[in-house]
Amino acid sequence: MNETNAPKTVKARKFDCPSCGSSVTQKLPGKSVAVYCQKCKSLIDTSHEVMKIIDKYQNDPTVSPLIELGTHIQMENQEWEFTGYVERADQTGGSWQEYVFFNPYLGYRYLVRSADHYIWISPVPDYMFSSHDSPISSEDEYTPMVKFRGKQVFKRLTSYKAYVKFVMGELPWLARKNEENYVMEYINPPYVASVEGVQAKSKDEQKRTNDRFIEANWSLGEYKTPEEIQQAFQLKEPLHKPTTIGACEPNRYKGKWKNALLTAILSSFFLTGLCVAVPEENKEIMNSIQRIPISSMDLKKEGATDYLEFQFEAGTIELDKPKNLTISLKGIIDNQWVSINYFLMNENTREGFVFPSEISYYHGVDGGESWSEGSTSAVLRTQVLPAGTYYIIGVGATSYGLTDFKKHKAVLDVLKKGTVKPETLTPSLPSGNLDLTVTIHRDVTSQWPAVLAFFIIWSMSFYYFVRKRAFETARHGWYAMSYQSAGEDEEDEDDE
Amino acid sequence: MRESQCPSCGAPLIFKNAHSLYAVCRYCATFSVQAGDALKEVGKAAVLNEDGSPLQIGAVGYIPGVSGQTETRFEIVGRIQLDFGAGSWNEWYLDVDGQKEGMWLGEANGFYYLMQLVDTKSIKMQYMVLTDEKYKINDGLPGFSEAKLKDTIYLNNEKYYVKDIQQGTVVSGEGELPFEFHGGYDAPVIDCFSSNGKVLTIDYSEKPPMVFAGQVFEFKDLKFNKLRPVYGWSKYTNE
Repeated sequence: MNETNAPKTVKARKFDCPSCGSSVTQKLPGKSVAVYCQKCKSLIDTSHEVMKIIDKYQNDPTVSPLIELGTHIQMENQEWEFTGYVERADQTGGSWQEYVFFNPYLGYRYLVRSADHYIWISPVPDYMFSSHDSPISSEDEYTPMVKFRGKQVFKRLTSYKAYVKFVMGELPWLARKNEENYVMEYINPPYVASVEGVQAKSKDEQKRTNDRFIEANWSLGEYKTPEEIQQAFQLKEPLHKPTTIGACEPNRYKGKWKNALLTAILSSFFLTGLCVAVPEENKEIMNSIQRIPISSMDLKKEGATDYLEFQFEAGTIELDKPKNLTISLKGIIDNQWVSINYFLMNENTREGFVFPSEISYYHGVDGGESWSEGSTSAVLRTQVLPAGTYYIIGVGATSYGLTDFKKHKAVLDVLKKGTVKPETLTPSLPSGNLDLTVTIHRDVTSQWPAVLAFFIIWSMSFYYFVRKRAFETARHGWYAMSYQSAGEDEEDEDDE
Repeated sequence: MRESQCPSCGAPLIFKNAHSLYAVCRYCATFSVQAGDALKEVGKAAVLNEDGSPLQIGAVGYIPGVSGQTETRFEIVGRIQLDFGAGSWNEWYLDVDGQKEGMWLGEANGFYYLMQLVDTKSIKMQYMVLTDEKYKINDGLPGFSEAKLKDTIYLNNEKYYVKDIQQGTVVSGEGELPFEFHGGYDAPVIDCFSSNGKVLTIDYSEKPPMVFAGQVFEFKDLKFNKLRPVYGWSKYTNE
């Protein structure tokens, strides 16, 4: 009599192949339900006491597995046994291989190899996925995104039908040749969430399922590089590198884009800091406040425009080395304009430079809305001027005080002739003054090298951003093809 | 803990859980029931299927504590083995420290469903049905043949979705158990889940149906020890 009802250690089970009679070993009794006979390549249903033949696979795999069945590998710090191998294809003719791995404590894992891309897949209880904050059901099969554990967002990539083409080893499900599964994939590289829908076969099942899937199995996959697989499989030869974009392959430009963006942001801070942190280089050398009485101005006319002309002496500046300058002009004007030509005379070389500057400020209310135009200040930048002492004269024109001036023109004319004593006329003189401030800075750092640097570093980041986007577009374009042909295929079926 | 003797072979039978009334003798597979002070023979338990499970009677584990609470030790004291047509399914009966009533641990592909029998008399149960294109909420539970996938069931206003409807068969059992089982008997079962990860199993093999509620754990969460050695594999060590 058995000492106990259950065996003490988990052992393999041996039985005769119902097809060819040769001995078949089932390494995972109770776990695997479909076992392959190495001799006659039949797939046997071991879920009942009497073994049944599921299918006969007389062909060979189109791609041989990279390792022998029974090999133990290390993946994600755990040991796994390679127990089964499945070849699948979609309706476009594309095919891929699935390696089935088992660990007695952790259950099954799958490695998908497709066009030299590798994805390590773990089954996940389906309540961990949600869409619109409610659990996923197959009614949501066209949902644009799903959430994992209520947080991680996966975007829909593709959906297709998958067919079993070849089986080797042991499997935890009753795989059948040409068995059709509907697969939907959502990505958040390097992860892929996929759901495999099993269609109801009988009418009774269809009635019970509310729709076409009797089962929907979710899994979570992670992208692996050929190098990682070579290491896990302990292969001597390196594996081929993929030439296409993988379904959940991390975007090759994402890292570069992030780096370029970070570099751009940091260098922008640095450059801005550099421009700000050099006060020596931007020293004020003159600040001249000018109060010009209207009575000292002359009325001039150019075409139909009357204006007042004036001039002032701003003072002298010293340049010890050849330097460039900025000349700022600020005026107290209100619906008026001021135009000035600065004459800079080098007292040492007798060389002269002229720089024009203009300010105009207008505002008002038009149709109930207030508006304003122009500004009361302006800045001009000179070229590099030779060293020396410069004497600065401003010659200007303005509309400031023009009305007032015209009113008193006659008085002024008399005054200018000098025939009448000014005291007797004083109450009638135009009394306003034009107030101007002229400020000169020297050694102004040119912003151009900085602007150029800004442009270069930001265009690097822009370049990688574009490449990153193009990568995703190519990925979605590539996988959308299979999705679209899945749709067409369905229409064909409907036509029949 | 109480000690008894197998009515068939006289070997000692130890009950670890107060709620256990039935036991399978580990020496002669006799299935007996507590009747007064003695045990009465019910029949012989069928042989269990080899299922490759690393769990066994005597294995110990720990239920993780919720929000900073200490973990709770449990010991596996019995099991029921079921067959749903695709491999065996074990429901392990647990004696949990500090808890009179035992809990159940379902095992499925690396995931572990820790369940507790719900007192259906003290709980509000409702389900939603679609009749004449209108949704209606009924009290109680849907009948087994009435339920459809993705139907909604409410337990104390918590929403559950029907995930699986399965017609299983009881294969056998072992150890101590809170109820009687018969090998070859039908076990119609509905599995449901809520969006926050709670699970519900409704077992229609009794009337009224038994409701089990709980949650899912991964192997590493439960910190097992005293596991059954698996041929060709080193002992699992929690990292």
